[in-house]
Amino acid sequence: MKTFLSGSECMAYGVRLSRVDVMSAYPITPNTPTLLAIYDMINEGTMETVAVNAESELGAMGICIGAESVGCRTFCCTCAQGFVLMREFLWAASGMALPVVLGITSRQVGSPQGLMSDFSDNLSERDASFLQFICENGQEVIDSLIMAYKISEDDRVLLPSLVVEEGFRLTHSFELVDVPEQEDVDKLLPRYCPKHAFVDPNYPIMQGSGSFTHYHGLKMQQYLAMQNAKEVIKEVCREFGALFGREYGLVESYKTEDAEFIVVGMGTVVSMLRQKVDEYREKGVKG
Amino acid sequence: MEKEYIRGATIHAEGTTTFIKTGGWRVFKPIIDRVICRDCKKCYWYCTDNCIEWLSLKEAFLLAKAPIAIDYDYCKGCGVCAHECPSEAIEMEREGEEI
Repeated sequence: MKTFLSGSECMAYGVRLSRVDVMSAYPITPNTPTLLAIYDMINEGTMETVAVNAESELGAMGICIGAESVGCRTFCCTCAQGFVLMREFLWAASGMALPVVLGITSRQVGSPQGLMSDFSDNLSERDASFLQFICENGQEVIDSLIMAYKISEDDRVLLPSLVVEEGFRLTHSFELVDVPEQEDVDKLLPRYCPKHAFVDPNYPIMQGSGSFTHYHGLKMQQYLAMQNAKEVIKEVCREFGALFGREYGLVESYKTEDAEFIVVGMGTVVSMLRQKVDEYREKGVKG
Repeated sequence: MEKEYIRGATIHAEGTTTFIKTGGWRVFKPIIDRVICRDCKKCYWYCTDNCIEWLSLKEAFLLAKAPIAIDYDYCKGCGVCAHECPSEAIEMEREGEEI
């Protein structure tokens, strides 16, 4: 279904199509329109997600971890200082193999205070073992959210991920987007049924335990999961491409086969870079 | 050396803290003087590790134990029971040798 959506609404549609069970978030400019879009959908009855109010971003992530540890698919949304505030629980989520997906409406981490994105928030957490999907436009936001759940919840990965869209540049701008149909998304993304995180009174387990002696082995598993993610991402992108006609990959290239120099970029700037490459080629510079 | 690790450091068991006998951490060992102790249960309420057993008189008779008994498998020798006992019935004795 083709429709005119803002980047914020694209994220809300992605959450709805992924059939998220529980979401919890704390408002921070510019994630507020995303949260409002999600709450509107819940109030209309078009989305069955349970939204839990949190007292801060740290609380929101804690709620998501709690829900994920009993087998719910969860979503959290934040940026900038809020994302840095929940830092402690990001490590908990990746260490406990809980595939939470966070929507990051990227904004610079102050000081100096600001509202535009320089990816300082999501890139500052590279060490926390999160997969990061950085989106160029609203279409990629919807597609990345659906694929992020599929990739994160894969048994070979089980790592949380971030779907990053730039605050204001992408969240508050509108474009024509092709929203996938729910039945088609259901073919790609089944219900979340974890084998490692559940509550069963007949089979008690303890999650998030501590260890001195086994730390190396457990961290190695996390590292290997991140390596496995490369293969899983390629597989899921192929599956997505077959269903919806849009195939993504680890890296997208534009006219690089005969280029004299290559510019590497991520986010909304890539749209402009493509135009510039064409302009420069007309002048004779092969980018 | 191959080892199987469960992702997320999840332990498939319950009550595993009881497997570790923290009594081995002790330096001072509390000994209750049976003659002075009047079973007031104050040490039971104050014990920081829940190591003191409070048996009913019937259980104590059947098991041939005193109604108040310290579980030395888990007692860490903190000395709070000796400090709180109103009849000063508990002595903290040095365990092992002086280094």
